[in-house]
Amino acid sequence: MVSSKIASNDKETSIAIQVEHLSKRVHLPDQILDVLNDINLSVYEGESCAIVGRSGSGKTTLLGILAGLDLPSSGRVSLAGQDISDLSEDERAEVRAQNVGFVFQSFHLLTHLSAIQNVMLPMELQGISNPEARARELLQELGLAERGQHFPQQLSGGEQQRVAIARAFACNPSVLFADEPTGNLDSETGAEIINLLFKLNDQMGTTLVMVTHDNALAERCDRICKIESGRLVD
Amino acid sequence: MRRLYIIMRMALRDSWHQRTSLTIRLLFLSTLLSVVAVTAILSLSSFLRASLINSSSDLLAGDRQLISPREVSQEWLDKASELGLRSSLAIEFTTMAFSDASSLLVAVKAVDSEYPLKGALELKYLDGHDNSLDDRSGQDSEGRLSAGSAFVQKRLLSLLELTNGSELYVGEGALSVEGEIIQEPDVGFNLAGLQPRVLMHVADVAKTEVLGLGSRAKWRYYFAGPEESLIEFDAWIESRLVSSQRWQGIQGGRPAISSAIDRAESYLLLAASLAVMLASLAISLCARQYAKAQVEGVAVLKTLGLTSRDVAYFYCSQLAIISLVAIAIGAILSSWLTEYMISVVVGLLPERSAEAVYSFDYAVFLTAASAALVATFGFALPQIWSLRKVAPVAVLRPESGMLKAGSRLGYVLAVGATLGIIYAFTQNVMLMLMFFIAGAALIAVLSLVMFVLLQCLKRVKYFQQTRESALQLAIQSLIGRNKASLVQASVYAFALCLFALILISRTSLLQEWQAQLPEDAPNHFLINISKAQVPEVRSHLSESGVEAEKVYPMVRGRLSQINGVDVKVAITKDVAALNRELNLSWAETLPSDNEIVKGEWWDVLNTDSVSTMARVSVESRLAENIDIELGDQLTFTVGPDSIEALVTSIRTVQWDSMRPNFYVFFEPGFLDTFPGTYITSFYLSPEDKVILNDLGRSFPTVSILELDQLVMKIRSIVEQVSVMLEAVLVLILIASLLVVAAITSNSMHQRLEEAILLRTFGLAGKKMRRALFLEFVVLGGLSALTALGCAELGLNLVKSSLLGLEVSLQWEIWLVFPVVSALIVGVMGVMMLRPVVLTPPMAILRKQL
Repeated sequence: MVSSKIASNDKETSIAIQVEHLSKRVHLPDQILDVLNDINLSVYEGESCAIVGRSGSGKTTLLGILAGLDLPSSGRVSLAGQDISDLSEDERAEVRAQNVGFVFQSFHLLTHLSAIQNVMLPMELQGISNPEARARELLQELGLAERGQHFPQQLSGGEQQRVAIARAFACNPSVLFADEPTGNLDSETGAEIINLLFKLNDQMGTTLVMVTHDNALAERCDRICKIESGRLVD
Repeated sequence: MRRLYIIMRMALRDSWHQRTSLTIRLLFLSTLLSVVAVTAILSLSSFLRASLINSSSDLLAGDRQLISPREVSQEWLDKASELGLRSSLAIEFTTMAFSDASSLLVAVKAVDSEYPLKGALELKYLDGHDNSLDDRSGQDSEGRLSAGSAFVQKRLLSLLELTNGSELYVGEGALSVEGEIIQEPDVGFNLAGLQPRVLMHVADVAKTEVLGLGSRAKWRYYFAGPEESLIEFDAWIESRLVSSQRWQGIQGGRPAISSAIDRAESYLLLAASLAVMLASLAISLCARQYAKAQVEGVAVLKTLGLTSRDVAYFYCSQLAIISLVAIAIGAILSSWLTEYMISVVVGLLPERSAEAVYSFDYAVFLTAASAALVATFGFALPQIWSLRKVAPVAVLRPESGMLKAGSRLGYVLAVGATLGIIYAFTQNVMLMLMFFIAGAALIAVLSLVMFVLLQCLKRVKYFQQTRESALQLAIQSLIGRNKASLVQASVYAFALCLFALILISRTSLLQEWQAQLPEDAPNHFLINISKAQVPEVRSHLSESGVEAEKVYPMVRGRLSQINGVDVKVAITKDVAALNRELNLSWAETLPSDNEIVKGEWWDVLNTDSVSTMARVSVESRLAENIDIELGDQLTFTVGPDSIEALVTSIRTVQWDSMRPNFYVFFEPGFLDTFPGTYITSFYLSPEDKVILNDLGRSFPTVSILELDQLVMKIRSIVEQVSVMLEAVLVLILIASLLVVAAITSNSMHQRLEEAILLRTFGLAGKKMRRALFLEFVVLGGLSALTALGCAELGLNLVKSSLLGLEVSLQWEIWLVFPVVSALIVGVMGVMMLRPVVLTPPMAILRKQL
């Protein structure tokens, strides 16, 4: 079902994400579409997991549900030890705020905030003290020390994605979700970004779940989950 | 709390950052306009009212006037003084005046030293110096009319051969003639038995020994002071008045002025309400667009852990920031605008209005601020509220971030709140309901007409063939965007329709006023012309080059019975016209400014059925007041005789036309035997006033009533109101343009996407610009035609069915309005969508993808 570099029995006590019999059904005007079908999956703390598959196979839908952005039609999902399948949107927002970081294909920085303000935002929302120092530190680590006061539209794609990575790690999340993080970047910049992402991930011991089309990138993860027509396959 | 603070700080930062965004600007401008329009219009309205009240008070010589056939109890005057009101007294009576040379029946007005409380009494001393006694002269009471002296109308000087210091005997009292009366502030409209005026001090009345028990005299008490005291006094005194006493405020005796005030006020309130409606519509349109643009941001914020409540806080804070800034700037702008407008108006006014000072009215501003807040929050909140429900998964799948339509309940509440605000400043339930029903009906009708017109365009083959010309491209874009075009055109039509309504009402209001008081409106009356003098007066006037109105006979008679029942028994309520003698007249033809509302004038009535009883036409308001219907029999007492008459018509009378007007017209031939006099009116320009001297000398028994000052005053009021109407029109125009801008910017996103394709396919920017212009011109033109049609139809329906007026179309507006609207919408469309044309295709592609 999944290829893994880590022996699962060593990690049984520290599961970051647990999925049981997860299905997602979408009602279209003329048909009912089963986007995900009986998915069972466990992602361990500190593990990096790539979700791969063809366009329309359901990998982004799975990522959304794992991160608590969407709800399954049936089955259960627990994130950071909490069953989020029955939580309301606002309760899931709390879980995300406490445990999750995101990196998106199209960066999704808030355009009205400068780079440093974008990084500070999740820390401010959580009431973390001295967010500016932490934000500066992260930007420096990502090579953007001089660009803190610039707004997203003044940054290149690679720089924007680095700001997004800094924002994602700002609150020391236990799980990082990345959706095609290099999809909008050229290969050279993409490689730089991935290196930084894995470097920070290792430093902080974050669990990483990443959706990608890029086989080379998937290979860098501890585990690859392939999805086809809504099912996890070997 | 800390979280709320962080969210509010974010909202503030975001508002500042988004200050250049078109939707935020439109949202801000709409709120700003709502504040400015309502504050300015209501301030103008209250200034207008205050200044008209001032002018009217001038004509009343006070803010209120009590007319009584006898002296009133001292308690009344004490109450006025206790309320902080100033008071003054004038006693009027008719008596013989003697000089060494001659004697004449005169109308005496004995005034106290306080007279006039308002307005100016202009006197000319015979020793050569002029003096104007007015309420602001600052002279002490001794500087006013003093005891022992008399001022007389110029005619009396020659008739009684008086010179400076001559002795004039009024009854038993001797007075020293000091000069002539140039202008008396409260010169009445009462044309009955008008004799030359003698003005004396009230302290001298006793020595004339004219007034005894039962003497026919009028005590006029004048009151002036703060509005709230006046209102309190109104309530106090009204319960104590008896039927023979009359209590007059400014609305009382001056139909021309009170109707000018009423109409101007109604117009201004209507305009303020329309401004609120238009601004609300613009806000609602911008808010939808604004909310749509926020979807991605909300999804991102939600992935970062923001809850629905946080999202609501964030956008409510942003809305509050935009509104508060708009309200603050609105306060400054509207204060400046009102001050400027008032300075323009004041410049047009003669004399005292120049002293009028505008002070910022906080109550008005608070109403305007509430109106703006209700409009902004009411119409934007349903959209903002739906942002709370944006799913965070929209960051991964933008298509799942479709913004739901705003809550219907929210809109219902918003419409309700807006109607509430409209009610708050109009205090008129009918107007509020009319807005609601007419607004809904208008939207339905306009959408239907626009739908039909767009369908018609679809069927024109020329537009379907190719996309060679810019016009074909424009029409195909219009048709292709079917539903969006319909919404856009309907909104254009709605905004233009409201503007057209204001434009047409303004034009017809002005035309009506000008028609009512044309440049050559009669400003002098000749009264007490005897039958024998009529041909001589006529020829004298025509020899002097004066064109007089018709000469009407006038017989004084009292309505004594209605259908055989004594009038005091039949009518229990107090009707002024029943307490005095009426001027009865007769005429072959209906005067041009009268209109039959029930029955027929004699020339149409079947002559076979003529009985021996006289037929009469009664003025409609009197008929309504005393419940007179067609076929009722009226008995009039004329001197010792009486005459019976049958009511065969009821007619409206334009009392403020400055032509002789009568409550009762008899059919010719029935009043011939009664003693009567004749009356006429004519226009005299200031330089022709010398004619009056000659006229006075030739016909010493004929009374001349000079109303030129009054006519000038009314005309200046109309002029003042006209300028206000222009200002209001501009504000409504801006409000309409904002709505046009808001709906135009709505299609920006879709047009950018289309532009990418068309420009990459090689469409030249120039041709695209032309096509865009034509598309908006067609949309604007069609909307303007529909809007104008609906506005004319609506106004004429109201005119014909409710007011019984003639239906009229204003052709000049039909020629100009659609063309100008089409051009304005065309130019605005091209200007607003300039980025679609100017941005190079590659830049658009990069931005979009």
